[in-house]
Amino acid sequence: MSQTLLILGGGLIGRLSALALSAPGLWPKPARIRLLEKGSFTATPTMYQNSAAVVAAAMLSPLAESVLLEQDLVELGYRSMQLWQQLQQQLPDFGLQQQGALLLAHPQQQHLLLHLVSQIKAQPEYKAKWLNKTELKELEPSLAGRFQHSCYLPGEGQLDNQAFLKHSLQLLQQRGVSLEAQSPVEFKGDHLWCNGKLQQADLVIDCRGLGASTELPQLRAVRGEVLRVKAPAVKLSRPVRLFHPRYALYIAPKGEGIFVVGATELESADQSGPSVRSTLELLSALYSVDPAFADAEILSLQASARPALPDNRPAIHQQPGLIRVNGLYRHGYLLGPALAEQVAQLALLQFSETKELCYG
Amino acid sequence: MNPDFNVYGTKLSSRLILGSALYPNPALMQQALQQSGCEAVTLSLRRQAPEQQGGEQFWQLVRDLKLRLLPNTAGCHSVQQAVTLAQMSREIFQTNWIKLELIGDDYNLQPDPILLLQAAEQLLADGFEVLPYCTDDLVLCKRLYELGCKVLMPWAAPIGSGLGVLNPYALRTLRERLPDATLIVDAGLGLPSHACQVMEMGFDGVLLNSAVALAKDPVLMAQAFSHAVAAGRSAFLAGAMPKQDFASPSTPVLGMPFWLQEAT
Repeated sequence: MSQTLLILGGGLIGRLSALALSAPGLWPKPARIRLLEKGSFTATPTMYQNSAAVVAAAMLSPLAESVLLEQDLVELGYRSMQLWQQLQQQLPDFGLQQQGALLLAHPQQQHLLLHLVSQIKAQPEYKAKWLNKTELKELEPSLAGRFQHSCYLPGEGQLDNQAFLKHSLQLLQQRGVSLEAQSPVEFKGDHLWCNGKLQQADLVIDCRGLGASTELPQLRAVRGEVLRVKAPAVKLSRPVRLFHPRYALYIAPKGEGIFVVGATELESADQSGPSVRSTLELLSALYSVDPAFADAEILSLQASARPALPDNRPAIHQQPGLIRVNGLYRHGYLLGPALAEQVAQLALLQFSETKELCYG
Repeated sequence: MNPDFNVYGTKLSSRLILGSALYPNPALMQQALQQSGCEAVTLSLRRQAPEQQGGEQFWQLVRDLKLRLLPNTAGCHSVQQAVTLAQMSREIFQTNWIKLELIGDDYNLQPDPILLLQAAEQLLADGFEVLPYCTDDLVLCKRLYELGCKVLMPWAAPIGSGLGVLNPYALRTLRERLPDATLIVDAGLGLPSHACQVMEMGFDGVLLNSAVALAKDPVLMAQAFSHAVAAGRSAFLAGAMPKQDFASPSTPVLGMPFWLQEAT
């Protein structure tokens, strides 16, 4: 058996699918995996980086997200947490941590905090816990005295996405996955073309996000803006979600004094750099949590577009020879590994059931 | 008083107008709007890079509902900003309707009455059918009406507060003093009973967003508001009984022992 697998899109879900399908001990193991990326596999420091995987704050927060997510997706979030831990054993450190997160609100937004906590779907192992001033001081001494009310969400985590993206590429290379940059693809009827060449594959896995808009016309872009700063003087050890009337704004410590703040959420496919208004919102959120951020160095300020379907749920579609996964919206890191696991299971099923060529 | 819900010559049978923002997802937004039976929807474009048609995908989801579109100038702080955005939205949405919003205070998002008059005058002269979002001040509303705004949209409370009617006297006065204007209560309603209350006062319609979009079940809440608006309108048309400070028996007391009549 010598199947060729073509994965389209070198973003998060493309890489996770390639990792899942190149894992040792897999059967039937694809003979060849090609990962096609329309641009470059490495991030460029532009203001508008059209890859949600690079720009994201990479929060793993199933409990906080349970307010808007259905229970099946919350469970996928916890499954992803387990899979991230497994990936961390295979890769150099990518800053995976699961020390819980804090919810904070300024007095004007206190009601939003109360409302959100009341809407959290309690999970068997994890329940939201209100903190008094002493408890907050114990968890995060630098926040003591500034917030009257705070809530602790155990089990929430995060990772350093830029480290993960770098290390995952190296592992894929080691496993013999063919990484093909500058390879935009086009579907024409039952044929797949790339740079003027007809592509041959036993199975195509389409992970192109917004790049698949022609095939998935319901996809839309939801713009997000994220700020990265370096603030060695700030001593926050876990992510903090600060209440904002419109977005879920996180301040996530990524180690070595680096913090990521984001993300805005705008129903727009605008491809320009971050706006002054959004920048002010992100910066003031940062400063209001700890004035020590005033001396932080701004490392980057980026905007990107998240691929979303009308119900904001991810979706996997399949037909013989083709699997599409898309619509991860702002839950790429939260749900990605579990979705890639499902994609891999479907792919293996197709390998064992059919040998017909659908593309080529 | 208008027997119809008349918005610049367009008769709407539902007196509820909903917003399209803040829903958990666009699919729920579409369902809530459909289930509410509303015939007009307000939408904003300011933060969606209208110059580049940045919100096109989202706007299309709203257009797909085939409702009357009421674009708004939410977030504008100057006359120039509001006028430019109104012109842009006329081009994008092909409608002369504009919900004119001009914020005068960032803390409670209170409309700026002075700039509102200036912007309304310019937009009316430019052929717009202006629906100004205003405070419940009688003199301001009179001036807007005299300028040519046939529809006025006073607030019940600050936007998104859900507080309900803060000043019933002011709203009642508006209704009494501007009997021919189409009056829509816009902003501050949190519960269907709030909507019912203003409809009982004789307001022509209700516009709201957060109360539905931020409800745990937006679709069900949209239906609840639809019922409340219809109930309030029927109550207004039916005419309420006069209030009095003493009880009046609803069953005849003749033939009842005198010791049971003491309460009356």
